[in-house]
Amino acid sequence: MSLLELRRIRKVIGQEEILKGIDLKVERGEFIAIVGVSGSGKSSLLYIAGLLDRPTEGEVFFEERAIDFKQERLLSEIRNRKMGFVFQFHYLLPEFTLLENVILPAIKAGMKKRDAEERAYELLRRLGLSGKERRRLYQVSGGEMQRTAIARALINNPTLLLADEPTGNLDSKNTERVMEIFSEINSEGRSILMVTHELELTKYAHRVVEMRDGLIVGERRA
Amino acid sequence: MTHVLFVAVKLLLERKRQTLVSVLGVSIGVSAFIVMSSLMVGFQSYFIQQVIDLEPHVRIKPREEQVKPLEEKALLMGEKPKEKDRILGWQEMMAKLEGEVLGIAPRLVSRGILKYGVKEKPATLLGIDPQREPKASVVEKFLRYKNLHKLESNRTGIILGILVARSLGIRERGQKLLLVAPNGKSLMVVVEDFFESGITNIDDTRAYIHIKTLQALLDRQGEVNEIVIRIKDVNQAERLAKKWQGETGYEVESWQKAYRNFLSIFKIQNIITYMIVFSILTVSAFGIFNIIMFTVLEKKKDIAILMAMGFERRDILYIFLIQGLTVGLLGAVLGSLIGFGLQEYLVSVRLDVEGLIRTRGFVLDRSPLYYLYAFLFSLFFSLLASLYPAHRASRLNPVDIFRSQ
Ligand SMILES: Nc1ncnc2c1ncn2[C@@H]1O[C@H](COP(=O)(O)OP(=O)(O)OP(=O)(O)O)[C@@H](O)[C@H]1O
Ligand SMILES: [Mg+2]
Repeated sequence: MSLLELRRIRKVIGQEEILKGIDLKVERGEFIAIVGVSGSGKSSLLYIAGLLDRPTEGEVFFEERAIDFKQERLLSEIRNRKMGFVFQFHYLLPEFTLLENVILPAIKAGMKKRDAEERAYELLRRLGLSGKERRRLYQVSGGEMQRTAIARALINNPTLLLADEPTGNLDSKNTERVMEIFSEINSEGRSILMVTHELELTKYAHRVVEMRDGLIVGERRA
Repeated sequence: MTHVLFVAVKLLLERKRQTLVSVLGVSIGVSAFIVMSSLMVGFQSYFIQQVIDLEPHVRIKPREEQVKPLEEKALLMGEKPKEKDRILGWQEMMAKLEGEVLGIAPRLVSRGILKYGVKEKPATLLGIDPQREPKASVVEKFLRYKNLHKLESNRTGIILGILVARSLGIRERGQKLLLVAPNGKSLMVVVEDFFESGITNIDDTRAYIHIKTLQALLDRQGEVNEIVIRIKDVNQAERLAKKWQGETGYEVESWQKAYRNFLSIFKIQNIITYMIVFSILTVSAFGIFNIIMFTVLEKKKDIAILMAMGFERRDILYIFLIQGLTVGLLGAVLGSLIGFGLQEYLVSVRLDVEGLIRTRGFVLDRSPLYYLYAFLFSLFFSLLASLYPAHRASRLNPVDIFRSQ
């Protein structure tokens, strides 16, 4: 069975039907790109896939388990241990150093601080941030912040990485770097669900899903 | 819990100045509570203790309304007192109550004027039985030379309140002065001792002489107009007074009733003090509320990402509650230190306090309970103050926040 499966997902906010019946499977190790015009419902879908938002209708399965959206603690635990989020904005906490930002999900998961830091050092090194671990946000560039956010998303060894326009704020050089990191993460066997505007980034994905007006209107293998 | 503490502490440390200001706010409340409580309770319980020791716990006297103004005038005019200002059958009454009390003694109380040289001083003359009186009130404790027994051997001996003596200009015992009764008769008496309770209005009005001497001076042989009683449990005074009033038909007054004016002043004093302390604590609670609420509103994005990375709503709640509690706790610690320092200072101050009581400095009740209460109060207030903002934070919807970016 798939890692994540969405069945007939509808999302209604007020009078507006934002998602109109979405079926989507994310296989283990699969890299899916979601494209579509602004307002087509890409982010909304990602929030539901990431168990951050509950669908008005439809079912979500994660690792063969039907998700009960009322069990908030379970949702938190899945997000913490199995998922990683990367957004257009880095959402790093300004009070913390890069290292401290990265270890937050790990100590939430109950890992010892020392162990978490060891792991974070390794991740930051892989993402080209060696020597900057103790820096604060104002001491690093936008690209470096985004890579820190990626390290944070990876610290608990997630099986699924959810990314909403992760390169939306980056220049082409940094964009390429992030996408190469994503490919590498993916090659380790982690699934990736990535929303993007930029069509040329779809070349990194196995499968491209196009959304329009709350529906999936096209799908192709890359 | 590590993850919660990790975030909470960081957020607090990042706002050192605001945190410090709130901590200071709490500590002012806490130290005010400690110092004011110990001052007030110290003063009040000193006063009450002196009263309880010095004064009879219960006294039996003729009904107040029985001494009519007209008769009082007659008294001053030197006529024989009417029937009313005395207790009939006092011996039987005392014999009956003897078994129920620690001590019981008869008194004859009258006004009089003391003359020493050219100086005059009106005083309340307490004619006492020196054998029985010490059992009914701890009068001896307040005597400079412990010479109560001298009243027995020297029937013209008198014991003067220290302020009475001072206003007459008498410094040493052995001085002779003239005692003038309301009926115009007078007697030369010798100062045997001085009496100092620290309670101004007692020390400034009172003189003790032998009951027989006073009876003779007033031509009231064998008469008694007050029976004073000491009991074991001072808190039972009101109850017993009521009971005996029914049994004797005379007015029976507990010390609480005799000092009700003071006690109600104390009550008002307490209310005012605790209102002040309460307002300080409330203000500091608002201070805490402010910084936590401010932090929550400012940190919405961070709360959303914490939730996305798996922090539970409970974790978020605790993160902000802990911040409030930490401020409360630090404030309590600092406030206790300040309070302790102020107490140390106050007890070291030597000055002659002249008011309701006279002491050589501040009387403090330095019970550790005030510290405990202060801790509990400040924790309670800081918890209360951070509850709402923390709850707000925990109910935030991360998706709404991500969308609004
Ligand atoms: N709280 C809301 N209430 C009503 N409508 C909403 C709400 N949030 C989003 N929408 C609507 O839902 C639709 C989908 O929004 P969504 O953010 O998922 O689009 P998107 O594909 O991610 O767009 P973009 O590329 O601009 O990020 C949009 O038309 C938006 O206006
Ligand atoms: Mg979007």
